Amino acid sequence: MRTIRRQLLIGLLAGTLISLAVAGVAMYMTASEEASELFDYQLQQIAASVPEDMPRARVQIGDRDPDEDVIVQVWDARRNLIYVSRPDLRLPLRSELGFDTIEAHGEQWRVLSKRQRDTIIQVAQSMRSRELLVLDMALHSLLPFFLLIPGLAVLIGAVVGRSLRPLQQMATAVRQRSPNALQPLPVAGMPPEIHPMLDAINDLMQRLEHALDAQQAFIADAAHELRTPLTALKLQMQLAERAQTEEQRTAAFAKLNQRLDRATHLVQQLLVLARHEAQPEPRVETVDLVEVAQQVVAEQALLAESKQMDLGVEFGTEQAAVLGQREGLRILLNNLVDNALRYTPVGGRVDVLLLARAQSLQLIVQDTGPGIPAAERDRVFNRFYRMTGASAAGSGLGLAIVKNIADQHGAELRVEEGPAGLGLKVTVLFARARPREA
Amino acid sequence: MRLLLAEDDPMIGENLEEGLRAENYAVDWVRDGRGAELALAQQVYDVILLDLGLPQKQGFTLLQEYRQRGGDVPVLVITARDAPSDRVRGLDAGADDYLVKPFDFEELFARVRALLRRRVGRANPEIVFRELTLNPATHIACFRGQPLSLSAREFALLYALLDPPGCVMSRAQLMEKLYGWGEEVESNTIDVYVHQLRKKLGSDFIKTVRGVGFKLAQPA
Repeated sequence: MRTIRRQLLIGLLAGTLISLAVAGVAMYMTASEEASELFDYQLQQIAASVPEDMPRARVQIGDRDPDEDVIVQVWDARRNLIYVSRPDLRLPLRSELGFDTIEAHGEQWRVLSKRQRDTIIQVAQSMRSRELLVLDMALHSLLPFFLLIPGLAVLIGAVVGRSLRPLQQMATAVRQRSPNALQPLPVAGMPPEIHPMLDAINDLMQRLEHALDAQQAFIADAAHELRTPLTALKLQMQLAERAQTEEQRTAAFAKLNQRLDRATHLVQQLLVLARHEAQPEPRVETVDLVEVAQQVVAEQALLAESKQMDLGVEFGTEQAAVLGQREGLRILLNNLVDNALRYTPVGGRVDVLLLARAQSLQLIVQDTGPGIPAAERDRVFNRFYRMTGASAAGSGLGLAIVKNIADQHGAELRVEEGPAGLGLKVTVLFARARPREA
Repeated sequence: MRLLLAEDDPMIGENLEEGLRAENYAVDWVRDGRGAELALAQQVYDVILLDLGLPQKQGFTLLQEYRQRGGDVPVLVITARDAPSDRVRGLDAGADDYLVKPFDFEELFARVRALLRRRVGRANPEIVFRELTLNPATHIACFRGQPLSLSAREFALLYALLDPPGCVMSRAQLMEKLYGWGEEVESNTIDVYVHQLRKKLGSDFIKTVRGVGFKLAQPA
């Protein structure tokens, strides 16, 4: 990629030179046309100045400037050459009178033949000498322009350099920014052409700052949330150390294990969330929700059985393809089912439903658990939200992850009471995948 | 000594309850702000352990309101928020001490003992009354220079009568100091412990205040 400066300099200088050249050619052509008339007039003048009583002998015109290359010949009525100015360059006699261009002695001649009483006067000039004269004239009038070229070059260089200075300033300003100091670049005083770029960079920096702030808030929250399971772990470990009997110790270690599982679960969920937030544009494919639902229910069947829960899936449709990310959708449904199993008391029922509507596909997970009070439903998707008085020790991240994945799929989430006002019903509404246009 | 534990996390609450009971404290555990409010209205606690992140009613609000109502029981705030500004806010709202999660049981116990001392204006970690010395930290009691063998409940009862020394405690008050919610209690249990203590300390060490309860006899 050539630099803008080089491109501008080359373009402007080449343009100037081409313009000068065209002007020169045009000037030369105009000059040569005008000079041609002038020279013809000059030939007529010379012809007119030939004396009428030409002696019938050979005479040299000695005081003529040889540079002018004008040849004068006079013929008598019987077509005898009675005068010639340059005996070395004799020209043939032409029958026509007036101006003509002939070839003789290896070059072009402009010849004026004129009848004066019984003689014919021939005045001729070599075309080459005419051209040399014209060229000389043209060069003389173009000379000042060529002298201007270095000046123009310096001027163009200065203007280009000055025009590009805002870019340099912008680069310096961007270089001064760091992830900790993302203040917007100054737009005032910058040429309007650069404004779109500045605006775009400022917009990017603003989004970056938001993302960094969110990240920092998340890390702070995560560190804070990790303290709870770690506190439980630490306290339980100290209780295990103090255990007096073997029985107490066994019980204490069993609880220690539970607390470790909980800390591990939180860390895993944090990882899932971080991974999902790290890929803003995941690979999209056509995912069959029927398959995903079957897979998740199969995976959770063991846990459901251990809690004596009735976990099942019902399909209201077989056409359940959505455009999305298979792994993300699996995690989404898995978290919803996991939550339902976690919070529903032993012997309860958890249903996964798949329904097709005109505009949407609905993936529903409903349980017979304690449900969530209406006042708290809009907060359930917040990170680290845990329901008031929740007995089960969740990470508080499961539904935040669900929300994240649903957002990535442009899906809407609804939290309601389960059927007959019992339990919790979470609905994920997917816009129907349009068939790809061929 | 009876403690109110306000902690919403089931695992931490369970651990704290178990650990504190093993230290002979009567512990009542509430899991949300409203429960804590109801419990505080009973005014039977010697120290309150308060998690600031309680559901329903934030611990911070609860503390402010409790202090505004004139509640004077020492409050030990237990929280995961460790920024200096959080600590300042908590202490200025009326907390007496601040403990950041995660912490050691030993530190918690020591802070609770310090709060119990300060509550009765005592600087010495050992309680000395007549020829009796009681150390709440080590659970060692000495009488006339000899180590005294006491059961956990006996120790707790003696501690209650020494807080401050010479105070009159009813049977009901002593029950409250010795037992938290959900602990099995026999109706004559206090009399049984008093009887056992009198055997170890001499029959005139604990006086019966007729119709009221018990107190330790002042030196003659």
